Amino acid sequence: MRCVRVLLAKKGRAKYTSHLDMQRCMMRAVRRAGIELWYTEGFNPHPYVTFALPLPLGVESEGEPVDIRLEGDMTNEQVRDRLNATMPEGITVVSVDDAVHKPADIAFASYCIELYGAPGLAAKISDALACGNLPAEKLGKAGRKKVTKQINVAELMGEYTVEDLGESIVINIILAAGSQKNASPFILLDAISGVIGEKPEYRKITRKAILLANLEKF
Amino acid sequence: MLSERVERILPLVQKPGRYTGGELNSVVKNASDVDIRYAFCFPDTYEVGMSHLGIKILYSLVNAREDAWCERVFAPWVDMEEQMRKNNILLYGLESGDPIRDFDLIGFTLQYEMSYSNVLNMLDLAGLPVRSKDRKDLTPVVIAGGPCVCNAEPMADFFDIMLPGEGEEVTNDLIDLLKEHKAKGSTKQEFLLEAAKIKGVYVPSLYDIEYNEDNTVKAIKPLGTAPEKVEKRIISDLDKVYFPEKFIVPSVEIIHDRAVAEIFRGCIRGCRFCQAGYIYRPIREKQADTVNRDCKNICDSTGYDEVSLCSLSTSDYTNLEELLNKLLDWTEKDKVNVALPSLRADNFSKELSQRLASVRRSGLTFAPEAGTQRMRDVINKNITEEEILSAARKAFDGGWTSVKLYFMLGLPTETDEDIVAVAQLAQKVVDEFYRNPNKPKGKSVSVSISVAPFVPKPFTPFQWEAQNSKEELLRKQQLVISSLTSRKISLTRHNTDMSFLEGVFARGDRRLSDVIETAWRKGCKLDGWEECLRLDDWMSSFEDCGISPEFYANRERALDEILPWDHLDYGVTKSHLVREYNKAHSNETTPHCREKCAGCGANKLNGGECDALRESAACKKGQS
Ligand code: SF4
Repeated sequence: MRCVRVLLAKKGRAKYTSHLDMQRCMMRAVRRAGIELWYTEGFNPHPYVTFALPLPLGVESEGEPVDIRLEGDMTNEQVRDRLNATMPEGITVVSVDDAVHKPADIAFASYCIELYGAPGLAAKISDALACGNLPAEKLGKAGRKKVTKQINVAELMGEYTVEDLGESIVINIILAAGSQKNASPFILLDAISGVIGEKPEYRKITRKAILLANLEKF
Repeated sequence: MLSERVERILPLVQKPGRYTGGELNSVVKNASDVDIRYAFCFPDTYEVGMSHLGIKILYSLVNAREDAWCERVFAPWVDMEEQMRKNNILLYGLESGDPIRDFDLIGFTLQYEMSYSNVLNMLDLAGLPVRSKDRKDLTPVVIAGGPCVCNAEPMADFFDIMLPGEGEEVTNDLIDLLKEHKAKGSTKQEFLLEAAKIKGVYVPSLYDIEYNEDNTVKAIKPLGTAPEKVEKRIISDLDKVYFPEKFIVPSVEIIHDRAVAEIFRGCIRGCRFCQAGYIYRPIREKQADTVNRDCKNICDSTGYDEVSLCSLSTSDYTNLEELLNKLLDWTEKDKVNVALPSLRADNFSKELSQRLASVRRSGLTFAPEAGTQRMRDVINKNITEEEILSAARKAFDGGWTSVKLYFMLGLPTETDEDIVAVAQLAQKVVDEFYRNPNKPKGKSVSVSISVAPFVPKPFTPFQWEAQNSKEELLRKQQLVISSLTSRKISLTRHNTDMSFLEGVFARGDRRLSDVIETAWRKGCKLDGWEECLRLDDWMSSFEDCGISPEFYANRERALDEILPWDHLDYGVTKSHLVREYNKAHSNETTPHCREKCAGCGANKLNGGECDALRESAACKKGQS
């Protein structure tokens, strides 16, 4: 058995495939590709296909890492090519490598958020991002109960830029990601709309990369 | 190919993946390369519709033609419909994103009566008039198929054409004809008159219905050259019929998300309440090699890890052992589960079930359907209490601790004694568990029983029976509950409102078209979803139209009454149904088709052939 890390780009209509559905989709792609999966022992054997970081529904990505345990001696390149020959529309395998870092080492993700433009909107957004206080409500769990937590998204942000292109506004931003601290682009947009008092409508959101604490690529 | 307008509303709705298309193995063609564009509509949600085998077969079949392009359309959920209406987005085909209003054929499959209002809603969302007579152009031709077409008279005013029977051949015939008439520039009427000449094509508008004073049907008169009786189409040789090599792999989870292959059509059992058991006759089996090939193709092209065999009463398939051996040869290696959905308790074998993961996982289900032997004799469910209990015993012996039992309430001739016996039978199953010396330690048993109201259906021996009223059914449900003697037994009841409406439409006539339109205009839709069903609006719509729903649901018909579906011929003769009706009322059973052919008449559709007939003859010869 060996573990490979497959990097998937998810574009276009594929962005409406949820995290859970992606897992199923990946499992089936591996089976179609004739790649031999490793299975757990026991009464009800199951394979190991795990996405490192859930991608919110509706967000595109340039590289989603998924770890897969394989049997057999196919090379990484063979795995990549066989998968690419059978992927559904919008999903492509960017690379297949041996896994180096542990998923727990994920600290940030960078996003490109494209909004429908409106006069003066870019300036308001810039001000909001700079003000240091971006309150938002986050759904969390306390034991078994669902609770809403107050968070300040400004504390979960890294570097960013805001560009006004008239028709659209483009925000490039680094947000906390991983099991410890995490902020999705949607919570950022919620927080921004709370501050500026209007809800910007997005055209497209793309996760550009998943990053380690030192901002190197995962 | 989603338009930006659709893209903008998708973030606002639940499970947007249902509305995007683009799934693996979906077929995209160049619209300008084809002559016929076909919208295959399933009048329910994506998750329900995509689970259905018929749509997969016909989709691939049409797309195998170079001159046609078939796309899928499902009923949007409430939130999506709201956004579509608000933003003036017309109902579109998932493959192209183009409005289906501009297609040549719009085909609905009618799987259950409760989807009728969705048909109107989808036509309206497509920007089309709901009534056939208000759609003046040749195209789109709006057609219907599926089991309900055996009496879809309540929908007669909305469809241009209905296709009783099996769709594989007649779909192609119809496409050919439409292509020809489109090229000729025919009128809709010219086309419909020609279409009615094809075997298995029913054009409702070519029949004039007269009624008696008492509201029963007086006469069904064909107009012009339309045939007196429309005979359903069947496929003669299932080993030669088209079956897809690929299924679309949905990107969002659906109800039955797995490979499916069909093993036979028809049913040898002759349960008198079961419409499917009658309307799919005669019996035609596929060979094990054909099914094995179908299963392998689908698994390879989809990556599914489960394959299910589709038929009524699966364990009656004569080649089951052979097929399972062939299947398990590769499925065990490929880690594919084999699921057999409808096993009967009486020939349930331990060896077989242990090799089948699906049985391992889901526990056991039996359908005694009724509590007493007398009642089971009436409905011709030829299974004894001892057979049920011994199957349960075997199951408990094999380590299972939960059993599901299915029953019906409101069956013809039913007495309170029969109803109390439902609870008693469940109790006997519980007792069986505790009597078993090998029962798993420290585990308790759970028996869940489901009681569904009986709805009499056309083309069954019970087509003349009165359905129990809602009040009566509620009383009977209560009686089951108060007869339960153990907390190990849990009960699931069905919605009696839904059964009532189902009963009205199942045996309704075309005067109900007005009611359906009225109710839909009041906002009725997705009636099969308990959270969406609005009985009050339905009841007021019956009233508005001056129609009594009880006339259709709760009235006993005379055996010589003209029934609204008498001009359709599904093979099984009326005299056979009358015979079975009379036997039911004298508690007499009829042996299944392999023991003895009951002479139902369906074999005449297949040149006198019926697979069960051949076997029962062969088996008699072997004995003599
Ligand atoms: S023809 Fe005879 S054997 Fe065949 S389905 Fe009818 S009753 Fe059964």
